[in-house]
Amino acid sequence: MDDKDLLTLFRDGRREYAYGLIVKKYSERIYWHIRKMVICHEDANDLTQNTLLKAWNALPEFREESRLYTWLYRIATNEVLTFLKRKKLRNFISLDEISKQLENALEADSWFNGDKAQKALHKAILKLPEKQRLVFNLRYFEEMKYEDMSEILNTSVGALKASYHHAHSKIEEEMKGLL
Amino acid sequence: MMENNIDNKHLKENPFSVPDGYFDQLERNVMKKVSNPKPKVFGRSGIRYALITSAAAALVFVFGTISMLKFGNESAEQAHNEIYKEYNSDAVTGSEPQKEMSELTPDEIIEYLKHNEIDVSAIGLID
Repeated sequence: MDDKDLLTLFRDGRREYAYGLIVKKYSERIYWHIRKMVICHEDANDLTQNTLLKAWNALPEFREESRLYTWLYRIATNEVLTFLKRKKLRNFISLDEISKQLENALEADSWFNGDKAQKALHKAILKLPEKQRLVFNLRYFEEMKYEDMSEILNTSVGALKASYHHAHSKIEEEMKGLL
Repeated sequence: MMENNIDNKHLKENPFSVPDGYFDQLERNVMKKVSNPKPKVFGRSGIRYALITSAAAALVFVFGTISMLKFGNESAEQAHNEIYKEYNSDAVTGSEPQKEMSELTPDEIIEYLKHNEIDVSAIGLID
């Protein structure tokens, strides 16, 4: 069922049934989007549930000015950025330190099954500023269109392209040192 | 070296994993919360926020009241003194500034009352 039909079903009064289908369709994608940003499975689980509950509460007001999937990604992205910001404020730490914390979490993560090269790549990604990391993940792993990313991140396509290419070069450079 | 090229397809694979059956459990958890929403309660941070806000409001109220009373009285007193000063000034009375009531002797008071044709014996000031 496409998103338009799901929304029609939701508005026709079969709310929980329709939302169940939306959760089934998008929860996994949302989880992976969040997981790559926060690394830890438990944190990703909490943030995914928060995202889906916020979306449920806000869905009656959703006016389809954006597509359902970019709208869900936007809620998830805001959850992630707020989580990272709170973490920095709570622990009085800088961007470098939070990158280091996430790298340590990656090292200790029993749910990370990657090889040496994949670990080096993910460590290099963690060194990027948060928003650049979002852009890189969406483009590199999900091969998302810049137009969709523009809706999610509220940034122009040109700026997103520049950000991605900048991130790509930085990671390539970083990988040389890590491998 | 193939692995060094970040456009290598192998690097784009997802190296993370989740516990078995996790996504089914996630869906169930979300739908359970959707069907039975928890009543809104203050979390620990909510309580702290409410306390800080209440304390701030109470402080503003206390300082506001004190300031109003203090400065309000001061302004009233200041205004009274200014009117009094103005009333007693040479420009208004054309005479020496008048004395405070407490500075007057009983004779001066009686003299004043007599001057204004007030029967001093009737109000019991003198025998």
